[in-house]
Parts: sequence; C-alpha cells; structure tokens
Amino acid sequence: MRLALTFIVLAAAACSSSASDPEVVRGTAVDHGRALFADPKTSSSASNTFTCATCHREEAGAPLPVRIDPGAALGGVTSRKTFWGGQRQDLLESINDCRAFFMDARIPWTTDDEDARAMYAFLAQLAPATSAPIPFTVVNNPVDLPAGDPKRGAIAYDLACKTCHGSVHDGGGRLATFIPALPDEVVGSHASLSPAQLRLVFVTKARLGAFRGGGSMPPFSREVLSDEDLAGILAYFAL
Amino acid sequence: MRSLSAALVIAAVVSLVACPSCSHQDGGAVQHVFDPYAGPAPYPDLRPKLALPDGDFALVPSSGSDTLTLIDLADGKTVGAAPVGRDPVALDGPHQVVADRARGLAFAVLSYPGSAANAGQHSHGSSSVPGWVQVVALDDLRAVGELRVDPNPGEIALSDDGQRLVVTHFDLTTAANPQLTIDQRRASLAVVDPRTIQPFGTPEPDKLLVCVAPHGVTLSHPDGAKAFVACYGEDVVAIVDLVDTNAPVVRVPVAATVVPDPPVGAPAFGPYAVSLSASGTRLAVSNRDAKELRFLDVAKAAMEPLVVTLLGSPYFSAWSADGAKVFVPMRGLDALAIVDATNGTVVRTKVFDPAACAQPLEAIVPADPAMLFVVCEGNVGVPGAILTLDATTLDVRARAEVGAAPGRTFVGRGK
Repeated sequence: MRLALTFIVLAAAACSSSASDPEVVRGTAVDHGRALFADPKTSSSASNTFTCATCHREEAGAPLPVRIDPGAALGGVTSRKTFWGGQRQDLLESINDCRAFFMDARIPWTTDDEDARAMYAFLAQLAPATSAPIPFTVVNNPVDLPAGDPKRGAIAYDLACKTCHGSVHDGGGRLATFIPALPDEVVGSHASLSPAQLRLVFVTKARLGAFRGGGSMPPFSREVLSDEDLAGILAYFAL
Repeated sequence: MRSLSAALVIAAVVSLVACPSCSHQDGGAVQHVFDPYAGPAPYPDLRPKLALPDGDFALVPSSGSDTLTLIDLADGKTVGAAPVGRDPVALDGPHQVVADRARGLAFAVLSYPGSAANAGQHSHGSSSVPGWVQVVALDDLRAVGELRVDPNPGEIALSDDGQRLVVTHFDLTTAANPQLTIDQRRASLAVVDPRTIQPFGTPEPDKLLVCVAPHGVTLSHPDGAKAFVACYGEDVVAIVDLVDTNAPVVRVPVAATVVPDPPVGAPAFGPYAVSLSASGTRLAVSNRDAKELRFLDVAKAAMEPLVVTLLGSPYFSAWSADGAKVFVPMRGLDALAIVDATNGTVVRTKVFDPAACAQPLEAIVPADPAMLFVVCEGNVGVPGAILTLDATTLDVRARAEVGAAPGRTFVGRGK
C-alpha cells in the first residue's frame, strides 16, 4: 500500500514537474549544426521560411538529384578557399550572405556565436566531396533567350522551381504564401509589360534572384541551370 | 488490501503513461541542449597572405571585376587580388581606395550602380542604392569594417594622421532637379573617425551639407582639419571646417564669372577634382567642363588669377613634392600635361598611344621624384593600366595592366 501511494505521489510529481520542465535531450555541436541546417530559425526574422537545406544538399550526389539546387553541395566546404564564384573568400561571410539576402537576417554571425560554431562543426564533418571552388557563373546582364522546349521546361521546373514555388499556375505546396505562383502571379503583377519584357523579368529573376530588384530568391548560376533549361521553363509557361 | 495496492500501483503506472505532459508522442515539450563546439578555431582564415613589395606598390580597385588588386610597380606583376564589396553577386562598384599604412588598413568606397543598364561600372551620380565604405586589412584584403554612406559616393579622402575620413556624394539627380532650391540640391560630405568603423553596425557618419554635386575632395595636412571639395554642379570649391562643423561652409567660385545660382545641371566650369600641394598652401582645381586648371590660395580662401587652358578635360592631378609642377591627366585628348605651377605654362604634354592608355584618370607622384604613375581607366577595347613615366620627359617606362575599369588607386611603398 505504501509502495502504491509512493508510486502515485511520484507519478503526480513527475507529471506536475514535466508540465513546466520540458524533457531535456542532449546533443553534440554537430547535432546542433545539423538541426540549424534545416531550421528557418537560422535567421531571427519572423518572415523567414528558408533553411540552408532549401538550397543546399549536404553532400554531392546524395540523394539522387531530385531537384536542382541553386546552392552548392556542402561536403568539403570548410576546406574551400573561395565561394560565390570567387566573390567571397570566407566561409562565414558566405553563410552570412545567405542569411542576409535570402533569410532576412539582420545581424551577421561572428565566430563567437554558438550557432555559427555549431554550423561549422556540422559542415566540417560532412564527407569532403571536394574542397575545390565550385563554379558559379553569375549572369550579370541577362538577356532574353531563344524559344525553348516546353517538355524540357516542365522537368526543369519540377527540379528547380517547385520546391519553393509549388505547382505551376496555382502554387500548390509552395514554401510560403509570399512566394509567387508561377507564372500567373508574376504575369499578373507585370501586366503592363510586353511579352519580351516579361520574359526578361523571369530570366533576370532566375539569374540574379534577390540581387536584382529585391525579394529573397537565390540566383541560379549557368552551371546549375542552363540557358536551355531556362528557355524551356519559359516555353512551359507559354511565355 | 493486496489487491488494492496492486490496483493503486497499476493506477499510478497508468497515470504516468497517460499523463499528457509526460508523453512526447503527442508533441510534448522537448528541450534540446547541445554541447558547445570545442574543436579547433572555426572558420579559419584560408586567404593567402599578401607580402607588400619592398618598392612601390599599387592597390587598385576595379569596378569591372569587383576586386582589389595589389600590384608590384617594380615589375608590373600582380601580388594578389581579392573580391571586394558587400554583395556576392551584383557588382559593388569599388570606386576608389585609400590606405592607412600605420594601421594596415585600406578603405574602399563602393558606389553601387543604380540599375542593370550601368551594371559593370560604379555609380555615375544617378544611383539610388546606398554607398558604403568597406575597410580591408592590407595583409590579406579581408573585410574588417563597413560604413554606410549616401548613394553615389564620389570620392574618399583620409587625413595624413589617419584620424579623419571623408566621402563626397556625387548626386547628379538631385543636382539637376529644377524644382529644388540650390540649398535643396546640395549634397553632403560624410565625415567619420575611421577608427570607429566597426565590422558591422557602424553608426551613421556625420553628414555636412556642402554644395551641389560634390565630387573630388582632399584634406588639409596633417590632421584634415579642413576639407576642400570640388563642387561640380555649383562651380565652386567648398572649404569645410571639420573641427568646428557648425561653421558655415565657405564656397569659393572657381571664376569671377560664376553666377551665384548657376543653371541647373549645366555648370560652366564643372570643377571635378582637386589636389593640395605638399605645403598645403595651394589647391589645384580641375575644371572638367571648361578644360582648364585653376588654383586656390588656401590662406586667402580665394582663387588665384592663374588660369591654365588645357587640350582635354582635366581629371585628378598631382603636385610635385616641391610644389613647382602639377601633373594633369586629361581626357578628350587622352594625355598628360606638366604644368608649371608658378606661371601656368604647360611645360610638356604627353599624348598617349590609345593602345597603352585610354581615359587617363589620375596622376600619382611616388616617393622617387624622377618617376610618375598614371592610372588609365581603359575602355571596351583597352584594359585599364598603370603607366610608369619618367617625370621629366614623360616617356613611358613601364605599363601594368590592371583589369577592368580601375578606379582611383592607392600607391605606397613597402619599405
């Protein structure tokens, strides 16, 4: 009887204490970095929905290419000497670029920030596919493209655009409601433009993303999205 | 009794299992506690270290390639180069660089293009994108500080003692707005103690309203107590007291014929650049539109009667160390003139081979008075270059190519 009462008291105590004290799960710095990699809270912005994993895969070739990533695979990244096609020579600065331009983070990480240190721990233990700089050719002055293949464009859309923009036309499953459904919402917001101007809007956004005209879209380099793929997407959009 | 005890034990176990806050299968709170990173220093600096050459070197900002390049002027070879700017994709428009050798720092002014139409160049006065000053370490060109300024930063100057940094704002859009009064068309001079510039979040600098479309600027020796500004849109030289910043700006018309409120967007003289003699007593004023060089008597705060008519539009000139000559790069006719500063005579003119130097930008007098450097901005067919000239004959002794669209360059000596 005493044992049973003790058990009930313990159970009640356990319940009452766990109501205010969450279960503590311990992890390593690598676990911390891995969690951050897939967490929009990598930026403190309430409007951010992107994570590192939105644009990057951890290691090249794994998993099979089910999407076209605007960002490079990150295995070996801590040994690379340049980033962003040579426009950066510092990994943390490059990470802060992503956080600022795509995730609306207002304050850059420093090497003293625990999150930054955990991210480094996670990145450093990824299988080092390559420490060589990743080619990243920016198309700084985009021009209209010749007519493309809509079938190729449909595939390219699914691989490159769908993760964020959702299904074509209705945007079903898109990452956030502020991300426009393609092409309809972009066409609708540029009603005064000629067809050629409208195509150039899409090409420019794909090539320069947030770096031309604002927003939070990452740019697609020539290496990851060819002009043929992009022309195909325009054809798929019937533009 | 035993059965009651057993029932209570079962109830207790059930209550433990059923207690919602004890179960995590229904989304109960979990607190993750991670060990701190305890490995080697994260994010090690993998940049190559740059050893400054023993002799003259140039630190060249290139707005065409978004880089700073360190060049050994003894042999014209590149010691190292690094990207510059805050934007990893679009061009940042590095326009000019100055350096503080004592602190091992350089200050690059970033003048962002306003649109795709002029991408590939620095702003030419019509951008709406804020400008920045980026501070880089000379030993590997890593960014160590940044300061936001207004759009269209024109020129930057650092005092000899390294304690004052100023930036003009070449705002041609506001300058050409006929709806505004002349005071409203005037733009500011940003003033900051460069030692206060932080890696992130540096407070806004002081901004003093100086004149319409201020461009070239230089500071008095040695502490930069006064700034001398070429006011392109107002045909004046502005003299700005940087110690008593409440003192009124003194605006000296560059010629007696300058009207107090010149036609909007149409300066008659177009003062674009200034350079101060080593003694600090005379200021050479490059009137780009009038194709002439004039002089300001610093002590009198008045223009001298001397007028030097030139064959091309003068840009950033340099004084000889003894104050006897001024070396004046010109455009239109791409050339360099040596002007006798005592009587205004053009002693010698060097017309550049178009393949060697297109669009001369500035003359730089190094420690060796027998030599002279000229930065050539280049054009579509001719890359930018730094020429080494004989300071007397103006014969070209060497030519170093420096990439696309070099801006105003810092030249120093390693030892």
